[in-house]
Amino acid sequence: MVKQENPAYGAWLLPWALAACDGPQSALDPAGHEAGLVAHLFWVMLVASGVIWLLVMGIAFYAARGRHTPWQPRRAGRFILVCGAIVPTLALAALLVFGLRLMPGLRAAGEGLRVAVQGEQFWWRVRYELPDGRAFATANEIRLPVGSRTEFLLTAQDVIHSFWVPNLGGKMDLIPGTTNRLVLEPTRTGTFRGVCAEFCGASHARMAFSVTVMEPSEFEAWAAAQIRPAAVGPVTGPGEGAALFLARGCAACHTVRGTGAAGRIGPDLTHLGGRETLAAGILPNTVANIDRFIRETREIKPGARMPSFGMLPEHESAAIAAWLGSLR
Amino acid sequence: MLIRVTWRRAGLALGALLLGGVLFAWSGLFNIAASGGHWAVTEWALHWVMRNSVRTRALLVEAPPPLDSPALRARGAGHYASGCAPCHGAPGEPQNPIVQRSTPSPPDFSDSLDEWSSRQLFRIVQHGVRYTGMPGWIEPARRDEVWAMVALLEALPDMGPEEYRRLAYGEEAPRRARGAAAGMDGLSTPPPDLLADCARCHNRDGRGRDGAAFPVIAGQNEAYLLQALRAFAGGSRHSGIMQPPATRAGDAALQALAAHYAAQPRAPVRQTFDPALLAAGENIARQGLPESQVPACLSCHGGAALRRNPSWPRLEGQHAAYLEGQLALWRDGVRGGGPFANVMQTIGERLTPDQARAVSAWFAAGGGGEGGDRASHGEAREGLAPP
Repeated sequence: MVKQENPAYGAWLLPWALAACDGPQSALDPAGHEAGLVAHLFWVMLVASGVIWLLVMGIAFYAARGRHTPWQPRRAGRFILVCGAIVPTLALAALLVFGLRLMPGLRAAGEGLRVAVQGEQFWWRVRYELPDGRAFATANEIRLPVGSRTEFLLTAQDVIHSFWVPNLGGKMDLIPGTTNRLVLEPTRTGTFRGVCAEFCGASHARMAFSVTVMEPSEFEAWAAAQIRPAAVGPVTGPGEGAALFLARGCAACHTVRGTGAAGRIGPDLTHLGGRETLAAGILPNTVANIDRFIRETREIKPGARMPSFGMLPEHESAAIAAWLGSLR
Repeated sequence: MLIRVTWRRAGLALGALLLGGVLFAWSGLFNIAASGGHWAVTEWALHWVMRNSVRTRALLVEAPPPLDSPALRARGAGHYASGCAPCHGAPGEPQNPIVQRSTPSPPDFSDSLDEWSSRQLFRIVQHGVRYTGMPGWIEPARRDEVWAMVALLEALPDMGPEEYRRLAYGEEAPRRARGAAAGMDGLSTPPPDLLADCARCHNRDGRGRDGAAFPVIAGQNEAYLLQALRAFAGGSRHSGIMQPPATRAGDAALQALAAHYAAQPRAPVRQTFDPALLAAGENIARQGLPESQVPACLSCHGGAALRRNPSWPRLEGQHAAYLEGQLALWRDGVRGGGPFANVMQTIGERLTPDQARAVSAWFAAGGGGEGGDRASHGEAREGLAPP
């Protein structure tokens, strides 16, 4: 027997659900051309579905409540044919055509800037290729110029991930052994949140990134700063963060351009201090949090490929964290 | 006179029997003395149960590695002398009269050894035997060590006293008394000359003996050696062979031993390898395996890295078989180690057996170490002379 649900049962959830309709991680608060198309499609579909639902409900109500003489079989058959087959086919075809007409807008080519994103357990390897041929690597953060179309090349090397910035566009899977293409055109500046949208392991929910949309001139300045190696002063003592970073083996996996550190396994940390967030979008970027992440990597991020370095003396991890935080 | 058996009477009889048994145990009349030994029937029954258990449980033991290896035998002998001979005797070393008075008395291996298959010996050495005083292996997961002991046990019945002395005491053999019963002191008391205890297997110069039986520790980084010895002593580096001597030495002695062996000149082992294997190993050592998230070995085990941090071990000129064995332990998650062990654990478990063999060969052939991380492949192959 089907349980009778009180229709008011879920009503208290409604304002709460609506609260997610804007903000830094919402497909209904578009900040990009593609997200605009998606939102447009959503609203048209929602209104059309609402109209169809009201019509069906109205007819059902009319049929159930009124006192009617039974229709002749011929007339009833015609009604079923028209309202049960022809009208729904036309309505769905119209909506399909509307939806398909939006698709070319999602496939338009980029305008020169390319960002290669590789999904890793559990972070994002990001490589920029500027239209003039310059390139640089970063991680867990994407910055884009407003008003131009950026092409994303998406792949993975361990398992399938999915790249999704709801405010900027639809999601696209990152699949080992293949490269998917996605073009995004941000239409207003701001900072948004992207997430991994395909379950990828123990810390899937802790695999996010920040997307900052900037004025083109700001973006150009940022990119120029990223291309430069880290501003590393001369190392004067073995107790300094830079020296410890090399001595304790961090450089085996991490690159800090401008030092001897050239590891390719983990994220590039060249300008770590300048990033919005830490540990793939899950911690505010502070020196204290860098220190904590060094010491408790696998407590903060279960299943992370990096071992926890809690065995380091506290002053050493603090020195390494302070140095990394100073790399802007 | 016949008594009719009823449920009630049977229950009462059982209760009386139980009560009587408890009273007997409480009274202390039962003789638990070892001196008289078991009744013959008890002895037979216990032994029968033990043999049955070993026979059945041994069916689950893995296939043995080749056990006629001199290196395996030597590794087993070094530990046998301190861990087993005190109770079981050894060729040329009669069983200690004290242990002969225990019940059951441990079988005397100075003249014979019961017929057991390799797998059955493995089962007994790995897990010991309950109610007999036979202990299990300290680290049962170190199956490689247990097999080394089995290799020695299989060779023991045909082994003369001289061969045993050489295998068990190495270069210290001339300093040991002949024909004396095996003592218990090796189990707990630090020997008067600790270095002599280490030198039985590692030699005083740290170069080891009997092929790849023992790793080269001569000229190893002192900080690393001390970390390793402390990890053995504390049990965080898992070894049934190294834990007892490291534990009984005491920390001051461990520091002195680390300093001694670190000061010995490094003497790389001469080994020859297939050039293709070396090339594959060099590639892993220099470039790592980014697709498997393995960083370049030289970023910690190369010359520049070793100068920056003496906590990492140098690997150049080590026995390839030893390096490969250690990587297998990492892969199986049983290696353990000092404070930085979890760093190598995350890397070691990502190397396949083939990759481990290649990279072990490259380091064994002299790759890495002082200047080795800059040497080309050809130079690395020639880098066999002592630095």
